[in-house]
Amino acid sequence: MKYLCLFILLWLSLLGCQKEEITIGTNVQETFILENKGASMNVNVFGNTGSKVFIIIVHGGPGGGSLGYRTSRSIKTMESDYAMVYWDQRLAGASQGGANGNTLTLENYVEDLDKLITVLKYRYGNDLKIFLYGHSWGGFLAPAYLAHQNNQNKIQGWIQASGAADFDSLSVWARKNLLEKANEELAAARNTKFWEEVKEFCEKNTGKLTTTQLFELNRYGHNSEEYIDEIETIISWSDILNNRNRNVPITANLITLLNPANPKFLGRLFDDLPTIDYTQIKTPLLVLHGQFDFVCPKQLGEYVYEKSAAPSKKIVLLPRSGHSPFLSKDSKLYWDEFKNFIDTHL
Amino acid sequence: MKTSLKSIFFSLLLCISVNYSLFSQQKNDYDIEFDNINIKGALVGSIFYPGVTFGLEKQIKGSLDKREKKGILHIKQIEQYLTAETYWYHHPNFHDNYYLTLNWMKRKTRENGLFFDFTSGAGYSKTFLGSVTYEVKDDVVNIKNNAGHSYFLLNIGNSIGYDFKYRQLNSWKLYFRANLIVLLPYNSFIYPRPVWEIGTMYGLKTQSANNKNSIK
Repeated sequence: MKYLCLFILLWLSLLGCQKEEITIGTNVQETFILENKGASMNVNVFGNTGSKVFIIIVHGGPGGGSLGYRTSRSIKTMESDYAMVYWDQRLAGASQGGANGNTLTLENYVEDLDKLITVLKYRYGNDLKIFLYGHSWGGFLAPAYLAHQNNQNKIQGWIQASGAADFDSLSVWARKNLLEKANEELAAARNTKFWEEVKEFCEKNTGKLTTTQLFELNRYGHNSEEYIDEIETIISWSDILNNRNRNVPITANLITLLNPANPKFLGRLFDDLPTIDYTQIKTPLLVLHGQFDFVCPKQLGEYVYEKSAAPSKKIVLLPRSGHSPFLSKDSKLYWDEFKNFIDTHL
Repeated sequence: MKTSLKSIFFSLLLCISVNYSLFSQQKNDYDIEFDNINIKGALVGSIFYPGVTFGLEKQIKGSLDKREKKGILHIKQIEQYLTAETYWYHHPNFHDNYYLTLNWMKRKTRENGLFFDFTSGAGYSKTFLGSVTYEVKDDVVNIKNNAGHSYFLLNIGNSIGYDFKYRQLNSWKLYFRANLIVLLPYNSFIYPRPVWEIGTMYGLKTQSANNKNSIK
């Protein structure tokens, strides 16, 4: 009986006992959660919070996770000088929630990001300099955020890395590039089985793609990287896993990524996506794009660069990279350009 | 919290050591008894995150499976239980999960005291988020206390254990169980999670199987 009482006391003492800990320092590792519309989103802050320069990782997917972007090189290059904010979006990474699939709308994503910025300022001070770093799907969400109301005023600069930018153009260019590459590889008789499949898909599916076709195109884009010699990936998944927060629930990350209901939710999300007017975005811009990116083709990076009204903008095409240049031999160039951009726009 | 866990751990160790100290008092007549109600307590690990569990097992059916092999009678005790168990595990920065399960369990105990369980059931899970949680309304940031989610829970598990009543006069058991729990709907899907437990059970109420001296 004594031990039962002890257990009950232990149980009760733990309820709601999360302490707010805010650290201003050079080597910070802390986690908080942002709750909005049925989603409890994990936010990990790593690095130098004393710098007051915060870089929010707007990860890909939708449904990916943020901590996959934390590699040894990004830690070495960025975290000693700035605070990196790894935000798991709704239904992604270690985010938790119940039956919240219907909340997957662009409006909610934009609202989440805005609330995250409000919380960061609440925690670390109103004088923060905030940069957005959008990769893949995050390269659609970040500009969608900037194009909304007066959000540009809250952001110091924007890094568009292999961004999805415009979904209609994405599918057109991805098909075009894949088809050209398939013809080139078939002419050289390299990996003919795979490239014939790609060619057949691209020739057969023309016009506006359904969500299922878009996923298929996306899969071919990713898989093509295994067959393109020019792409040199050097960072292993073990590097990424080692650099995750020790307590990250890996199973939760996998489950959200593999959620079979994703096509249903994403189909609805993609159907409602607007076309972003990049000519209205004046936030300083750095475009980083892999030369051999067949998931979000390099033309998207060039398109954003050309359309952007930013007085200060730069584009860097990375010659040995596919969709994830931060995992390739270009990663040093990638992070050096990234850091230069931040330093220039403080 | 560390002190409390330590206390629980030591109490379990104490229970185990009491059992061992009584080993010398072996019974001679193998009087088989059914445990009508067991109370259990165990340390829990979900992957490698710690927790505890307590529960009750109520026997709903019990029988003896007698088989003769080479002139020797072998008896297996087969029981069915309804169990109610409460669990807690602590996954830092993610969540604390408190859950209650109601299960049906089948236990087979060999004449050497070794037993095997199969458990399946359902329950209710309440998680409390593992980090400070904020919500923002009209640009005002508030800390949300007791933030978390409720889930329906499914449970399936297998155990192996040893029943000390086959060697002595008390009703202690030691066991190890591997469970798979599934929370749902979790982000409109499911969230499976392995949970193992190692602990002890005590038979509060026993009933004779009336087969005294049936084993030689």
